[in-house]
Amino acid sequence: MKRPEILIPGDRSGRTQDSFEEFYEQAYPRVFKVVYLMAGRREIAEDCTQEAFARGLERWRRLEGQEWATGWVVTTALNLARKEHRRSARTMGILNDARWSRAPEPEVWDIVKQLPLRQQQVVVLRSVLELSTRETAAALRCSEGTVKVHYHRARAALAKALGEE
Amino acid sequence: MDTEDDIGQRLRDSFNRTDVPSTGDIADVHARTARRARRHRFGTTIAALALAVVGVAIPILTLGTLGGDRVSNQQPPGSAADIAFPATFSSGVDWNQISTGPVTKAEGQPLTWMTNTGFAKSDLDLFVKDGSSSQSILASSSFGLATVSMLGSEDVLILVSATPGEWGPPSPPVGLDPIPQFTDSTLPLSLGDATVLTEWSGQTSANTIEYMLGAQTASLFLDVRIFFGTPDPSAAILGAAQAQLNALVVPDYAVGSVPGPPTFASTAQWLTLNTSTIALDPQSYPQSWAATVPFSPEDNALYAKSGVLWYSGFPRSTITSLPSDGIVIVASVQAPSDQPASAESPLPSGPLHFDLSKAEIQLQWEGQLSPDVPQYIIWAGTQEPSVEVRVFFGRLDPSEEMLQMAQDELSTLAT
Repeated sequence: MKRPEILIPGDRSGRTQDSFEEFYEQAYPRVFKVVYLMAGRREIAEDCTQEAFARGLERWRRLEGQEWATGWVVTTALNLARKEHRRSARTMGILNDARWSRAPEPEVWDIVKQLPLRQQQVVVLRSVLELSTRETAAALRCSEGTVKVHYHRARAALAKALGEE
Repeated sequence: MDTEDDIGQRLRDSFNRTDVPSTGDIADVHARTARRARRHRFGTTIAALALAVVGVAIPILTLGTLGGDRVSNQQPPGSAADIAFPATFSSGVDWNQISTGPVTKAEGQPLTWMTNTGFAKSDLDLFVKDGSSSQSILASSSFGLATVSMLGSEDVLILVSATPGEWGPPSPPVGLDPIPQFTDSTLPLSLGDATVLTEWSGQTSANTIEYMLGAQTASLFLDVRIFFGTPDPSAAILGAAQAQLNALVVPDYAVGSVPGPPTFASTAQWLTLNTSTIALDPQSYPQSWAATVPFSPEDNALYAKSGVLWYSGFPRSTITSLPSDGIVIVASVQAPSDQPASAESPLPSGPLHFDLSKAEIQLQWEGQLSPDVPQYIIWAGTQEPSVEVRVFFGRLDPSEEMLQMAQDELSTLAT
């Protein structure tokens, strides 16, 4: 497909756009999979992942080269999925419906989904994508201390919930 | 029962075992971006944001929706600008830099001061006078002049005013002579192009000398003044000043807006500072500080840099040296993380009703700045945007009076 007009401010050579496409190819599989596991519905995960990358493209001048870029896209996609879930829940009543999950251990992800939003995000970025505390903080735009607090609380809550299964 | 460390491994294992092949379509990403850009370019949505910068409403017209779509907010250099941003210096270990925040044309013009010595206390007092980075400086017509009068022979103070091309040349700062001509220039500016004034308006010390540079770039007017504390500056100090000019960064207006922070309606006993609603960096987020003691010069300088409070701008120095009867409160907005610099999802309007008695009290805490300073943390819900409040007392056992004083201040916190 022919590229649309250059949309990245200052990108006259197309080099920046090339770097975005490299980023997309490298990051897409992981982003999609984690969104799928959290959202539970393939069509929502695909749509939200694509939309998150589109927003990332608009901001690529700022995201390019940042070690937290993948975390930013994941968080954006998860938030979009959450909004979509809310919308769907109002019309279809499917919010947090485990039937939509296709993960090998759906109960693990269901428990993650019960955590407060910030804890969900931190768990996904830290435990699943294995981002560092610093990268997670940058992606979530909060302090490293805040990440540590959420991560500690999330892991404690998960350990307790899974231990009580 | 699973240990906490097992949890991460279990999630990773589940993640790795999950097989949901999906091939992303980069063309779809481009198409989505292009659609949105077209929508904004030709759309008719013009939103007026009433942005409050320290209680002063600044009307800003911004194209596009108020959402996270930023393409339309990004103004290329030279386009009409409603707000001007200060130029800043990107280098300068051991140098002190203070800038105004973003400034509307009606307010004046953005200014930046950079010096290899300290700012005069009387200047800093002016700076914090109104608890605002931009308003107080702009209201303080003589800011900087006290520092100039105290410059030693190896000291230098640089003042930069930058205005968008459409605004025309900046007005000369009060007390200084107008620049007769702004010449076409490219960065970096050169001291060799400066007009040297041994006598100048506002001069209070005969030993001071002013180098004056008026430059016009493709998108900006730059009014630059370099003051030295001797009529015959050494090659070393001239070189140091030139090095700073080489590190001058001018704004490109690729900015957006962020939700305004909750603000304190303080009594005279409190000093407050809060962030601009203009984001110069995606990692900035709204924050307000309140303290019963003056903020330290270091914290003020950090706060003022680019007019945006970074998290690293946490008033560490003020807290570290907090007297036993002192109180510092920091209120931070945890904005939606899918919109790093958007005005979407503002906080609900109204008072926030923080109750200090429900705070999590940490007598010892990670990164504790002083063993005598406890931290009281209160969270306002888990939904975003949410507000986090941290209250620091100058003693581990704050008195009832101090607790009540903090509660009274917290009760004024509102969006």
